[in-house]
Amino acid sequence: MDNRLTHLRSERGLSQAALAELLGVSRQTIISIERGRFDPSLPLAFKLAATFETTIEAIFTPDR
Amino acid sequence: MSLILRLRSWVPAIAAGLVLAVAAGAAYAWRNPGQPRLLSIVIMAILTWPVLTIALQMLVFDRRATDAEIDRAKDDVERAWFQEAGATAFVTLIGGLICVQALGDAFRIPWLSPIGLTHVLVLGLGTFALSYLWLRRRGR
Repeated sequence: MDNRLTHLRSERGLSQAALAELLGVSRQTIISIERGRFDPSLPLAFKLAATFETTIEAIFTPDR
Repeated sequence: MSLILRLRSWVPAIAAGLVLAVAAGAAYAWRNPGQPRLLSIVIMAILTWPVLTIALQMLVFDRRATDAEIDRAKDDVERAWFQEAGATAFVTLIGGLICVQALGDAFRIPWLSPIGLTHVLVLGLGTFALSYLWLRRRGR
């Protein structure tokens, strides 16, 4: 699944570690999501959307 | 939480671990009467004390912290790797043990057949470890 996480995170000046801390997950989880190698669970996707004050669809795009 | 408070929370587990470790040593000495009794108890106690202490702390005395940690980690990628590696190890274990038994029977290799605990541990843990490391490497 494609995502705009790296872009959104950089926009807010957050490091991967800081975002991981905010969401209560490991830094490796953020790395894997950003690289599209791990699809987050629905609760985590909602947490991400809430953190960036946007919707899940605005962050993630399903593979076509 | 300060270091002293953290250490204090481990005291019950350390004490209970010591009691159990000495009991394990006594049981070993009782089962092996030919060995020096006191030495057997001391060595068994030293070897099992740390493991028992950690197990007691995690499973009995600080269960809430362990549960909270497990709950906190439910969205982590490491959990997904762990589950995938576990599934791979399970399938490989079944197939691998059938192969080990068949090879041992066919070629009459005594250390292959019959299947023992060592085969299960080596194949199961080995596959799990390799699978987890591979997933981790791929995920980075």
